Amino acid sequence: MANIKLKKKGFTLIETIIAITIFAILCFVLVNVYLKYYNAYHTQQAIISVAGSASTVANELQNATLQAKQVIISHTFSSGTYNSNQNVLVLQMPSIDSYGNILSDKYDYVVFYASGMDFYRLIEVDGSSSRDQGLKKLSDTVSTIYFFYNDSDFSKVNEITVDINMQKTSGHQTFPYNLDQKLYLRNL
Amino acid sequence: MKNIFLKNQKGQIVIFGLIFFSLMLIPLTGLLQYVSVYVSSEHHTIAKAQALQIAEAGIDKAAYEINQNPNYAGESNTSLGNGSFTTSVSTIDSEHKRIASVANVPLGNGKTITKTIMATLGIDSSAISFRYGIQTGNGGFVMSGGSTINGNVYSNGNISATTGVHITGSAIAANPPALDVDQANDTPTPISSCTSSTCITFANATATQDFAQSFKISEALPLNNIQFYIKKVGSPGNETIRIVNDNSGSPGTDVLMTGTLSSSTVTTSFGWVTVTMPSNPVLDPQQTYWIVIDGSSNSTKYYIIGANANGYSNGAAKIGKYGGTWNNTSPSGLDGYFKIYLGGGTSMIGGNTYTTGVYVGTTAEDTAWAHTVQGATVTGTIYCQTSSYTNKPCNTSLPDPTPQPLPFSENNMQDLKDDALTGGTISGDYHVNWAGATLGPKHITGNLLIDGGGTLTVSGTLWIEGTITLTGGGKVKLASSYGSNSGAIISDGYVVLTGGSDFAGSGYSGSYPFLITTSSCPAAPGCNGNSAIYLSGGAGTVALVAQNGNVNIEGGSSLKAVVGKQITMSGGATLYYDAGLINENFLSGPGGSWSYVPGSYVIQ
Repeated sequence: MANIKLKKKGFTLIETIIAITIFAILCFVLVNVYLKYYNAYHTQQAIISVAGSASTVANELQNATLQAKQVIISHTFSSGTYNSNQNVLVLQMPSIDSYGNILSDKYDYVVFYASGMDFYRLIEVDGSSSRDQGLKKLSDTVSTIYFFYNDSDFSKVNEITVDINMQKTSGHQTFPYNLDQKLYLRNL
Repeated sequence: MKNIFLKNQKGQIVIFGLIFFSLMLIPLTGLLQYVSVYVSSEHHTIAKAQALQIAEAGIDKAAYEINQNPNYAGESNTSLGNGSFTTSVSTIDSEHKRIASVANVPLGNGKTITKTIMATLGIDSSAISFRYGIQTGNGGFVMSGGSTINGNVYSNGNISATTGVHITGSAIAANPPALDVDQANDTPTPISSCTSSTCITFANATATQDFAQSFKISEALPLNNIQFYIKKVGSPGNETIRIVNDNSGSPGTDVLMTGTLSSSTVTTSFGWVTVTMPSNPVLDPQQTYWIVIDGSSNSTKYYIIGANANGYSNGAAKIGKYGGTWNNTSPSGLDGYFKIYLGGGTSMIGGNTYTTGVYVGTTAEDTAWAHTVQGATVTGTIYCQTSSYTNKPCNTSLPDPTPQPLPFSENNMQDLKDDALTGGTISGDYHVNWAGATLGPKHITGNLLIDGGGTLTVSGTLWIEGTITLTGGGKVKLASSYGSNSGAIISDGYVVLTGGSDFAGSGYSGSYPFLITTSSCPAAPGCNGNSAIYLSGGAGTVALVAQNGNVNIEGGSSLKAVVGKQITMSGGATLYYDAGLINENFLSGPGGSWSYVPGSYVIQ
């Protein structure tokens, strides 16, 4: 019974203060650790996102350029006219049938262009071509993109250097990413 | 009980620990999961890039294999890097093959990235194309002595054939190239007033009754017309224009052609007057000929032709009487003003006045095609505009055939020389005797002689700056390393093949040696009367090429193909043509490799 009485007395003030102090310290540590993890998580997420986005853009550019017959000065798509320049790439590709055979004198057209931070690929194909067409957003992290052609005459260009600068903001931090790549026209 | 309660109090820290750990684990787990997804995505991206590169490697490998063996059909699951490729080859036509290269790169989770690239390989058959067993340039060719061609014939000039000549395939004679000034002496003009050095008067006296001017033409094309810078005094009669031989520096009396200078076309002022020749024989560029303006004489009705002193380097003018005495001009060394136009004629097959002059074809598909067919028996259709002494009339539905380019371009020739240079240079002559030799690629600055039954094994392209002579059983064969490809020996001098000389390929089907000369003999200096290629008997499976000169074939020679600016066959010469030579592959050099066709590349 004596023991039961002792238990009913509750915590002493000192015990309570000590307990609260320990709890506060633990909470402080925990919140700090959590915030650091949170920041690290978003930092890594931003870096991964921007790098992955750069890979996607580079792959799509390479895929189209390899198959392109030539860089063309200008082409009118259903959504408007695009002109090849330092920021826009318009390509003409031989049309293909479902077996991958080239269709004589028939061409598909693709344009790569940026709008704000978004980077798009638009394909329009000949009616007999089996290529998929349509507009696809390849990235939303492109800050600048530059195309450098190895000949001022677009019809003679067989090598393009693309310089892609990307960035993604996480919190108050901005994470840049740069990719330089040479693209070759195999069908010229 | 006390002990138990105390234990519960101490356990509070465990709860705190678990909560703390859980809160830390939540973002950690999320981050790890995101990293995992990213790694997987990047792995996927890298695998796609690798698959693209491996598929391209498959295309390159297929191109290499096809150049080694045109019958290569592809291969399966060839390992490369982290993946493998499978290629398949399908033949589109004789000049194109479609390659499909499928690359697989495993991701490690049981999945595989697959990339397919298709591309077309082509061979530049327009550069080295032997569509005819025998093909000539504008010199045409002459067949006699019962010579036979087993195959098709294409000539950019006449196909002249005497009795007993056989062409087992089709014979096509294209019209010669367009009219062009070949020889001219025409400056200065106009001549405002005559002096003894600027005018030659003739047809005014017996001693100066006729005018003559010697000349040489530069290439074996039909002489089409001649122009004179001439005027008349009074009203002289017409003059006869004769092309005659040279007789010790004066006009001879062997007349090759005649034309008429009509007085009405000549005025009392100087002007160019054209005399069109009714027949257009091909003159020998190595021979000197004379133009003779032959007529009567009258002291008040005569002609004056414009002249200059030594203005024409290939001849001189003379004054005198045709069939009589000729004298130098006064002053001596004058040349009359004239122009000679070559080309522009029409083609002919045959040339005899009996239907058995030349036999063309063995099947209904074998045709004779020229502007004129004369003295011929043709199995198939005769496509022509005029005919005589033939076994059937002209089918006029086709226009005259046009000249076709010869197989080798100048660049092709240079490519072969460049290829030979890669193996170094041998200065001076090279002699292969009974012991034989293996050589190539190599550049030889002198002559090549193979005799004494010796065999030259060609292991690479040979460029001989001098002459090539095979005699005394000399042989040439390609090394086995050529496989089914052909090899070339190119010379800048003339080639003499006599005494049972023999040629052979590498031993593989479709492999042949090509003996090519850039020589323009017998027209060029230093030819000493030799043709660019002279062949007497033997030879075997060799293709002879002399696009700038004459190929003279005598005796029972058996050849793979022959191309010359002009070809002469006589003495029972027989040419066997193998259709397999249509598109020829060289191990290296011109047109020799299957290569990627731009515009055919597709990623699927």
